[in-house]
Amino acid sequence: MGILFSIIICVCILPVLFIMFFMLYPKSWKKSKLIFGVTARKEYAEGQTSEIVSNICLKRRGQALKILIGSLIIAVVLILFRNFILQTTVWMIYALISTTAMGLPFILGNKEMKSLKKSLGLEAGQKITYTDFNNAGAVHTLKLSKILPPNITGLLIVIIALLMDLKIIPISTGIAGKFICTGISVIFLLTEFLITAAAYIMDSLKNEVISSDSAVNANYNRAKKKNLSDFTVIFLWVHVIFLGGLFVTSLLYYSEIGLLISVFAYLIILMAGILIFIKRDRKIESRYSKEITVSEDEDDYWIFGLIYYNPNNKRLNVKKRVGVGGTVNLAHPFGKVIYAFIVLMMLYVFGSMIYLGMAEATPLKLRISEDTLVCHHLSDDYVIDFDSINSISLGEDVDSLKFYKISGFGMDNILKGIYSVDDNADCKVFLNPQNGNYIKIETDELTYYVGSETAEETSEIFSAIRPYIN
Amino acid sequence: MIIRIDELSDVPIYLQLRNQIVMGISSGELKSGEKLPTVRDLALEMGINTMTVSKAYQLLKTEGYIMTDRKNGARVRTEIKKEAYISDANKTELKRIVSEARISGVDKQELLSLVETFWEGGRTE
Repeated sequence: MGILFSIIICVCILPVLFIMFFMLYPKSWKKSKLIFGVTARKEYAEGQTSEIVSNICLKRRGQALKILIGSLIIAVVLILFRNFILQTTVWMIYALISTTAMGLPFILGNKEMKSLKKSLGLEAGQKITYTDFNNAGAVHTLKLSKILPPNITGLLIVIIALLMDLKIIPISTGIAGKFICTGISVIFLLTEFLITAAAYIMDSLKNEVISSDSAVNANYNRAKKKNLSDFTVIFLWVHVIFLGGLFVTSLLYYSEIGLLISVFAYLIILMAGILIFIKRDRKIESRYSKEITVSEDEDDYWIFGLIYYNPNNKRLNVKKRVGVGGTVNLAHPFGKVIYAFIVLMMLYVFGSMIYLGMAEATPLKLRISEDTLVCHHLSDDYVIDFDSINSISLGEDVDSLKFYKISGFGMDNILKGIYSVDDNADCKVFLNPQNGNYIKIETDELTYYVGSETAEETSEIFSAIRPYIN
Repeated sequence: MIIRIDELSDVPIYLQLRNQIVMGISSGELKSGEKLPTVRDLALEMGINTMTVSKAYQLLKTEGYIMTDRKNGARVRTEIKKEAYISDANKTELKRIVSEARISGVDKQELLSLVETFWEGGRTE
């Protein structure tokens, strides 16, 4: 699982870093509408100022490139030396640090550009906003007929999974009745609903005013929104196809390689979709760059060029300055709630990382206490009363068992929680698979697969329990 | 037609909106009988409160520039009452503009030419 996990993380993180690099640090700033989140002005392209802006861009792009290369090297090192403890935590910290580091030169560039703007006396004396009166509420490209089919397909998969778990549709695999497939399908369906809701919000974003000609504005916004809605529809279909594939393969035959290939294919298609979206978006920008006659200066409302804070704007959602889609107005009351939620989620992830690290570093312990076997790890105690044991055996080859996690931990050195073992879904597992051996305990309700910190300790515990069992 | 709102101006936003719509009607950018965006759509697009847009529309309706009904929403009036009269408030405003222009050394001909441009329907920033 170690190498598989590392590869999945790399497939998820590395393309994100590349996309961040190409989106945040374009090669030529002269064609961009924004330079590090600051509105590009014709004054920046004049004489010595042009040289200053070029230097800022070159310096920050160079730093970003170094961070990108450094992140790639660290990823390779982490894959090669994968036998370290706290693997999950290390990868999560890597993901967090590398993505944050990629944004740092952008923030510094934003600061420099704002200082340059100030030194040139280009700060806005007025806060002028432009609205195209004729296009208000008129430019929408997201069609219900295109959004509904993938959502309905996802819903059908959930219904089929539910019918299988309720055993109305009979299947022979051990995971039936455990609501694993239903649970996974529901999570995917909810993600689809969220994507759909987000797409509708994006589709109702304020139309950008680039020209005094309403027709130009309408065409520009229609082209941009069409690109986004096409991407959303493709994304939804890729999502639902992946869900369908995962669902079918988990029913027929579950394998880690199969999972790896599907996740890989899913992410590759997704990344390809994002790249096509970015390419098309840039093409639209380039096509309309000659038509720009109106430019709104909202630089002061963008903290670091990334976070929008405008108390005068009653809108919750605004178009992102950099990247795909939209963001929320932090000055809006609901925007504050969303940001607070994001901060809480980050704290939760950070707390989870610490907990996972502790879990990975803490060995599993078996001990006998007053005619019971206690399996202790962190705050979890599995207590098995000797009277409830029907049979007990010592297995020597843990690799011959097929584990499928239902809930709990699944790490290189810890398998803990409810598992399906060799198609028997009523199993509780508490062992380190690297030790090789395990104790199999069958009770009226459950089958336990347990092991202690070392293979020797496991054998000793087995010998100690055996006399108590009839 | 592009609506230009100065968030730091002393003129309230509803009045700025009203003024811009009047200028749009005068310049022909908003044609007679043309449908206006709904209060909700315009408020959402401009990022302002619906009450602000509603107040501007209400004022325009009272002044006879637009008409509203539940079925068709707001429209530019097909026949705007031509009173051929400049209100006292507008006369005072015009006097202020002329005075300021004279103090700052603007040529009379230049000012008249600007009035001519606006009269013909041109818009300047």
